[in-house]
Amino acid sequence: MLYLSNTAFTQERIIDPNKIPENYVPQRGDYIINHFVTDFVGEYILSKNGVNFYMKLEKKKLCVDYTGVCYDRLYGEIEFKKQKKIIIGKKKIFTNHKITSSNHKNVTPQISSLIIDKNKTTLIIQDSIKNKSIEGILTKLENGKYSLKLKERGGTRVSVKEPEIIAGFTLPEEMILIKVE
Amino acid sequence: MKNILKKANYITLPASLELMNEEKNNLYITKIDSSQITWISYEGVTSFTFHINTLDDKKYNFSNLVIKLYQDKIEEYIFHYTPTEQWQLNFDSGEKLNYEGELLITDIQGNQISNNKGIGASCMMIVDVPCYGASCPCTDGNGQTFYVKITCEGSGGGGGSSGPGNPNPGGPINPGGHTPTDPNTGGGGGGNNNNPNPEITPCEIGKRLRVNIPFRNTMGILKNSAQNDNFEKGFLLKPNNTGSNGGYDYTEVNGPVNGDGININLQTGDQYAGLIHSHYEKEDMLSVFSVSDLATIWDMSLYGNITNPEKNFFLGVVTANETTYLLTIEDLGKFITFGDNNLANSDLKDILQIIYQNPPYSISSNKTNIHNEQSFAKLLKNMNTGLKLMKGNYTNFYGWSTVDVDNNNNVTTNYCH
Repeated sequence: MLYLSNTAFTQERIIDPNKIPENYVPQRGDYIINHFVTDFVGEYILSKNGVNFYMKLEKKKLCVDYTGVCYDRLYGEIEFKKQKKIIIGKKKIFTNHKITSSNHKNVTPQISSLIIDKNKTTLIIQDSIKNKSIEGILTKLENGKYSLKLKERGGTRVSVKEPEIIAGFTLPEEMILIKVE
Repeated sequence: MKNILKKANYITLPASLELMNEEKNNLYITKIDSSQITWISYEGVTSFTFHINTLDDKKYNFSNLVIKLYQDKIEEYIFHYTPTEQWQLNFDSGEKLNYEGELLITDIQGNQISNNKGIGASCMMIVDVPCYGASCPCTDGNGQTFYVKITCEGSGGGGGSSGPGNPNPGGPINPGGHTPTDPNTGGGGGGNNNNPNPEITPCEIGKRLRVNIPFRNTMGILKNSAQNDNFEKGFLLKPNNTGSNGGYDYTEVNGPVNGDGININLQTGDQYAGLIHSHYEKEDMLSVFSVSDLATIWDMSLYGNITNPEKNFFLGVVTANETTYLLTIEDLGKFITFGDNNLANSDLKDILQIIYQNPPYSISSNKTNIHNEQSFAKLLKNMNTGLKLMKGNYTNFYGWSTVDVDNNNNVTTNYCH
């Protein structure tokens, strides 16, 4: 663990996930960093057969109000065109570097990360046409290429009225993207 | 004995016998002597007593396994006897007096339930039924029915339990030779409680479910599904007024094939005492409860689909990773605060997922069962969720332990006696 003091008001403790003591309990002010997040920062494009897809991912610091603990997270925007017609337009939600969980109460980012592992990250993508969120698995391939594979979001859901389930995705189910340096 | 169980619609064998059938090497009971069984039926309560050996039987003069059947329930206890020298001398010389000495009662895994020193039982019955091979006179090959009317002056004590009356609260008798039995374990008293549905502790929930045969059978169905199906299976448990079927009516709810989770559509006003479900063999399925499982309790609570009091509600899971857990609301106020901040919308649930999967918890399908269990228990404690995790016996769902986290963040499991 590394200890750093930054602001005049609170002491921030940077927590290295590789050096966590056995019985560590996250404390308010802790910042649990992720060593793989920067690997995914950047712009990704696909241009093929009249289909154009653009995705931008930025590293931000997500701080959870309830616990006071911060994490690295990817946020971004996407654009999807078919035959030059915009189907899903870019929608940048958060401009600040630091995002809090309360920022999420009324707005939902167009794209954000869930799990960030080595060479693979799970993204949550808003499908504004189908009015639902989907999961995208972004996997690093060779030669600067990445695979973005979509799947329906899982989990048990409880409702008191018949849920309207819209199957499928507006985006192609799998895309091979090129990361723009 | 199997015939008796069949007649009474007991689908599951008593756990002690079921475990012995599996011939596992790590059992607390090392041998059950079925050549001589004492069988007592009394006012709807039936008990079978076997002489047994246990891993630690050098500590006791003798030990008996008692299996008690009443209503839809099976209860199993082990009585370890260490009589006084005088009592033993009298017994050896044929003088059968009220038992005097130490009596340790454990469950079938050797966990202590009670310990009575110097107990002097005032109701004494001796029903020995030898039964040897082909000469056995018994109809089912194991024992003979005895209808015994007993009068106890009651040294059992206790009370407060709203369970059935105890026909024999005084404790064991004639331990020397497969003695009779105490169909109950000295609790007795049968307290009166005017509240038909009082709040109970997580352990109390576990203890009740331990002896609820329909519940255990349904968990068995989930276990089978978790191991063989490619979808999540679940059951909603609605309390019935009759007390039949273990007190619950079961409604099956299944998730989509190859999907995660179950879409549960509830009617406003429908109230459930529990929801149990499976996690089948799939890449992302956890060996413990998922964020969406936590959200399920929250949503059901929000929609008023949980019976009152909410603290008696339980969420259960049986996984293909050979784990089974219950989750109960230990502190409703804390749970409401936690849910409001972490489960109230899909973005907050995603953030909770980030907390789940990041250090120090790192709860994931790639981690070991024990890692996920301990991390999940720590998360529940550290995030002040108000929820209590209980771990169950995957073999037969007999017995639950709370998974507790102390102030030093150490995890212990504590069996619910």
